[in-house]
Amino acid sequence: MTALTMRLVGGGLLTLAGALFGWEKNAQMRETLRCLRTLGRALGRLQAELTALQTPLPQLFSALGAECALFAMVSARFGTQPVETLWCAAVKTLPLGRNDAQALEALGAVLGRYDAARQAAETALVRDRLCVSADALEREIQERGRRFAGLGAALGAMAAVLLF
Amino acid sequence: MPEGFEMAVQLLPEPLCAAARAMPGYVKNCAEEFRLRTGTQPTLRLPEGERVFGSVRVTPETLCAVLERATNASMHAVADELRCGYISAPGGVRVGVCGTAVRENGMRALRDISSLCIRIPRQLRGIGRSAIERVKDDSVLIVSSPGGGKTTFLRELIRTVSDSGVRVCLADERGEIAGIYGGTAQFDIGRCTDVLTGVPKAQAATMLLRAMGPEVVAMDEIGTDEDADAVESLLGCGVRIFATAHASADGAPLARPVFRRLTETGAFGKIVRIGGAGVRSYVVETL
Repeated sequence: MTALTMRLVGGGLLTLAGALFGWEKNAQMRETLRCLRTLGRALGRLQAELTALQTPLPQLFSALGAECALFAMVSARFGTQPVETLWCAAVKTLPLGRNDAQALEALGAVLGRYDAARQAAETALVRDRLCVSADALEREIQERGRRFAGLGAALGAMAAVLLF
Repeated sequence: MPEGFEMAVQLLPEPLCAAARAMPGYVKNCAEEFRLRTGTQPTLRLPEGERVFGSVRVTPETLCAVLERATNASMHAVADELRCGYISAPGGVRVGVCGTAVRENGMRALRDISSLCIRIPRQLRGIGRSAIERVKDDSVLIVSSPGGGKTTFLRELIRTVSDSGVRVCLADERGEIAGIYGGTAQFDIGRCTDVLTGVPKAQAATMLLRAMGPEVVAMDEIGTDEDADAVESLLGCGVRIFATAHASADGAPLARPVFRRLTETGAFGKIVRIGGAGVRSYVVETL
């Protein structure tokens, strides 16, 4: 393989790597958005069940676990440790920003410990916060998502040029 | 380890759980309650008094942990019980709750829980056998001081009569006698017993009479005019009544107005006075 061919291959690989980096960043943002939307729906249902039916937490988490991984993880280990401990450990596995994760973790100290009205109110606050974060992230994805991919490709191309 | 003691111990967080299990066998056999009060060491109530069983002082977090286990992490699902000052837990365990009462939406609620009383369930088959033989075919009032064994004796009376084929309906307002949890009685109350839990006695008596065709109606801790109304509603219906009531140390409940009223109406034919600590005595009197 000639030196020119190697440079061409190297430049192409760098360009591709840059673009992939941008696409991966975009994919992470989309994953976080999906997680936030799923949590928002599940917390909304949690709030409704607490308010209307006062459903015991084990049954509630088992039902919500079918649609949200957080509740599935806690439900699977219910009774082995305090709910707050299980909840916080499960939140740490989610692809969330630090502030959203902290807000969600704080809910673990409330669930199952107080009357239905308070639990529902705290759940609503966290749900609203996550929905706001989801809306903001969705806008960011639309505005910058393509830019990340383009920027990644441009950086790769610049690196390829430098190699030449 | 006695089954009731183990069921109660399971509500305790570590290290209290380990400390309770390390108690001698003879202590476990006669233990009546775990008492957890914030800021003090946990105690175990025995016939002779309270005995400290853990070195670590009880904190609000300790009480939260107990309540989480007792309610299966669902305090919101037991709000009605909590307003009455207790929670029913698996195995027939009852947890008495003390805290600060507040008004929420017009209803009393308990906040800032400060102490818990975990009553160790105890089913003693064969107790008071001769007394049961003398009273089982009559309407009987069972009296003692608080914690004197009324509920345990009533449970055994119900079981004995029910197993003989008599239809017994139990108005278990506070869930202490049958210990219903998840729809299942945690105590053996006989093969012919129907249980209505959580309904005020007067209302329960009417419901049972109309729907369940009882030969005996049993209820715990009567003492109010409403309870007397419940008893009187059963008179003249061909139904026997088994009931308990608190009595002072001299065992004189009949002096109270509500019981004078029931005595005058002939609601009860016999009275069983339970006395003694540890080994109980059962004295039967004809009214």
